[in-house]
Amino acid sequence: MAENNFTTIRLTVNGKQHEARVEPRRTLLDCLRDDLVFPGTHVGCEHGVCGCCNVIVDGDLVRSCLMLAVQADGAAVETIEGLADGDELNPLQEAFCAKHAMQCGYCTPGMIMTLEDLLRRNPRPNEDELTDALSGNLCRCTGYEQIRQAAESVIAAAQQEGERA
Amino acid sequence: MTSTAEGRYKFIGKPMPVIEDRRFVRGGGRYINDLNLPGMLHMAVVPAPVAHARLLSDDVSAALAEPCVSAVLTGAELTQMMGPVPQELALPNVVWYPLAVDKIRYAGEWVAAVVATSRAAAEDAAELVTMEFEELEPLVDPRRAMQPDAPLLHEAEGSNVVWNERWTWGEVDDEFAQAEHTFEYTYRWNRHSGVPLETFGCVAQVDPTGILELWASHQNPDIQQEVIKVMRTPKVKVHMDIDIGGSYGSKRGRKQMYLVAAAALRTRRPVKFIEDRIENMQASDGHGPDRYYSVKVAATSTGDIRALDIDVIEDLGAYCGRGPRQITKPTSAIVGPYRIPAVRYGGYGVLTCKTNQVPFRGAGQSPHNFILERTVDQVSRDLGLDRVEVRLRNFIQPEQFPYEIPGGAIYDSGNYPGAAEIGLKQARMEDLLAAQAQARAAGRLYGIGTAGGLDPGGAAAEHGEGVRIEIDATGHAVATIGFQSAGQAHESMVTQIIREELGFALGDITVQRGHGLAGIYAGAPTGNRMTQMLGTTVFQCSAKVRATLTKLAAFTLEASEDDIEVDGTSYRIAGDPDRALTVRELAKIAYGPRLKCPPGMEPGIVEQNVYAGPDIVTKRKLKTGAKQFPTYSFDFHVVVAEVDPATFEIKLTKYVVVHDCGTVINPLVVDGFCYGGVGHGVGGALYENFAYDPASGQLLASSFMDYLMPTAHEVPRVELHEQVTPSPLHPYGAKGTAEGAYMTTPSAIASAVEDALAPHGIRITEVPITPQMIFDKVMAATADKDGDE
Repeated sequence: MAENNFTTIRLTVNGKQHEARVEPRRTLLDCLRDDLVFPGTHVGCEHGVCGCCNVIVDGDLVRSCLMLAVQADGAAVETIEGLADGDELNPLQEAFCAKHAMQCGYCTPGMIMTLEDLLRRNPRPNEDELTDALSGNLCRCTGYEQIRQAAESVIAAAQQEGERA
Repeated sequence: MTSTAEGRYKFIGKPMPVIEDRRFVRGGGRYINDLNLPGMLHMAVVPAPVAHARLLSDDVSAALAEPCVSAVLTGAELTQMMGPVPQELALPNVVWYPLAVDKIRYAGEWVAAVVATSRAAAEDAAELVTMEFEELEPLVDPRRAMQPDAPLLHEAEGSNVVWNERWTWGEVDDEFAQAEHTFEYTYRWNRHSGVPLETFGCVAQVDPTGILELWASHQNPDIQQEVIKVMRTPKVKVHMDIDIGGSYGSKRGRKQMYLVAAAALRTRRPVKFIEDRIENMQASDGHGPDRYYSVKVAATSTGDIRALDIDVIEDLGAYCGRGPRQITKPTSAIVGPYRIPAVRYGGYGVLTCKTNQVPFRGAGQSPHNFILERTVDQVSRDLGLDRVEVRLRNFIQPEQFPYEIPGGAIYDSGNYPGAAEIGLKQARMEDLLAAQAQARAAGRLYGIGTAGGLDPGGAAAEHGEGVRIEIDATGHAVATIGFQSAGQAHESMVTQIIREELGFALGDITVQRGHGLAGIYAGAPTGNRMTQMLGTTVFQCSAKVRATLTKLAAFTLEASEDDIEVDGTSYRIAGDPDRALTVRELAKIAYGPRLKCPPGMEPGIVEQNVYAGPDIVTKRKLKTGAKQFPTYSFDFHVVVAEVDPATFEIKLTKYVVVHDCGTVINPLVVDGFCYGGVGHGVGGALYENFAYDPASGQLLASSFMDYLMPTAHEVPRVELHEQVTPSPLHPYGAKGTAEGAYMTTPSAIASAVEDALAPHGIRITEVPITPQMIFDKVMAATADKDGDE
């Protein structure tokens, strides 16, 4: 049994200040889910391949299973729970519903965080750039087609917006 | 986008946003790992380090002495607490417990389970469990396990072969004796599976009244009865309100549920167990078929296939589990879409040192479709005929339905030439052939593949499916179904049918899931079953509700029931639209003073229904060994594959699907099944393989670093087209679907890759098709050619 060696970390999650006492070995994923109770971030492979646990930390897309909670001390973390504004979904969430870009929904939070990160950095990615971004997340249900369609509809809307402006 | 039944229905056939999606996009799904009960303990398991050994002793004392540890369970202890895990075949000498007893039978098999206050504490203590064992020969290849001198996995059984049948339907021997041509081919289908991104998980507790409660990411609610039997208590309640993070048939962790139940009974505390990824890959009993095939064919010079003689060796894994079901499922569609009059089918189910099989997406039909389509391609090449022409000439013709296949199963409806015509036209076959000629002239390896695939729908229809619909006192509809879903959008389908049949607005319908004691007769969402079974039962139950509302309206309006006309949620007298009652008003009457209701009518509006399946399934007798499904969907795929001449990397550059599942209820959902099925098929065809080391028996693909699943880079964009051939056995003409695309894709890709490699004269007979495999074949072919010269 490891010696208990807890550290107190302070971080913001979705804009709100939080505090947790964690062992050094605790992952950010477990800390978010179990200590801070943000269960929308999912456990997939726990070795950094599937992307189910993707969150945004200080503006960067992160596999929360590969980051220790203590490393997030002082960080600003964004999870799937922070995207909607009350009942109003964000454009990616709306597009995922409109195109049925999921089936079991398990990869969906990570998938949406990946696309959210992509579109913030590059609001009008081309098909190859979209594929590159999506290829860091596994989905076993959809074959990715309706996820692509959802992303493309958001990109097209942004494009139209840009042309109008 | 598919669209169907335009004009005939208000809601059926039109894309309806999926209700479940609204919670999923917010991270609001409620999966098993999100369930936490007060006072809950956590479990970790101790895996076996070797593949085959006599377990001499295990020592759990050090683990038990750790702080925070409540209990350590062993196999020996489980035999005192519960019965063995039931299996497909009655094999009293193949005894299966959640933890190894006396013997280790595969690497990673669970030997002990530690229960502690946190998963981390349980894992720490699990490392302190020690065991002594005497190693035996690991049995990795079923052909070795069949040899008389092979060690026995279950000594008391006397053989590693636990299933051995052979059936002959039609004049097989005569056909072979008279055949113009006979051919023999062998095939290999390696193990892959659904590999859902959520592993299996379970929570169990004993409630204050002594009821054993279970929640699990389990796809089959009929587990309730099995828990009662195995745990030897009638007080069981399996909950069905958990979202399942993917299953595709593979989420049926029965031994896990019994293990967690035993831990909860032992500690008198709630216990949670969530498999980690390695536990899931090595030991979740979730692998798909693993087969060696030998196929003999009798054919005419013009390419008519007259008879098939199919022999299969199925590598079941360490216990029989539910594997044998996968060998027999294809007997419901043994000839695929072809008019083959005679078939012999049989083989061996063999136990080896691997985790058990589970009926994964199509339950063994996918490898069967693969060998049928590969055989059509190979016969065509060996006779010098065009592959597409041979397919077309062997297809069952539209006017021949209902069509009885060898063995006696009857296909409900279909139009296979029609689907092929759409596929070839949409793919612009002539352009593809021209592009291929050009590519080949430039030294590129460019191949075109075609394949058809039969998709039986409505597994276990004879076991029925139930629903309860009540209209509450405020006039809202509440439907209760008896199982939980893994992404098939069942809540949406029930809602859509209630809208169609009873006219309720979307916001006035609630679909909830029951539990094992809720009194809902339920089967399971397996084998493309729920459009057929749940869809029909909701349709029938809606009619009962409508009849009750009509009776109430007639009584209140002092009219005869025949005079009541229903328009949405309005029940009125025909020709007198002012005399009308809404469902809301009728509900108020039904729950109000009895005097206002028809004499003899029970208070409230609550109707139940169990649909027991169509007569074709419940009343016909088939030949021994054959199986019948209610509906048969069909896929036709056209694929272009390019193989890099230097590295043999395979790229799919065009993918066209024609899907026919009769009337589509929700195109958004059906499209998703098609795209997703292609995704699974690409994985099985090109990448995924639960490879075991032949010497040590260790699973070589136990993480996502070495079990390769296709990403957005590998799955091509799919052009999806639709044909609608309604089923006569469904109220809307719908057929089961969701497995068809997966069951056709490996055949289509193999066809394309083989065509690309035609300049090398290479045949594709195995999946996954890897660059290494192609390299080896090209080297062998080159050596043969050099030898000839």
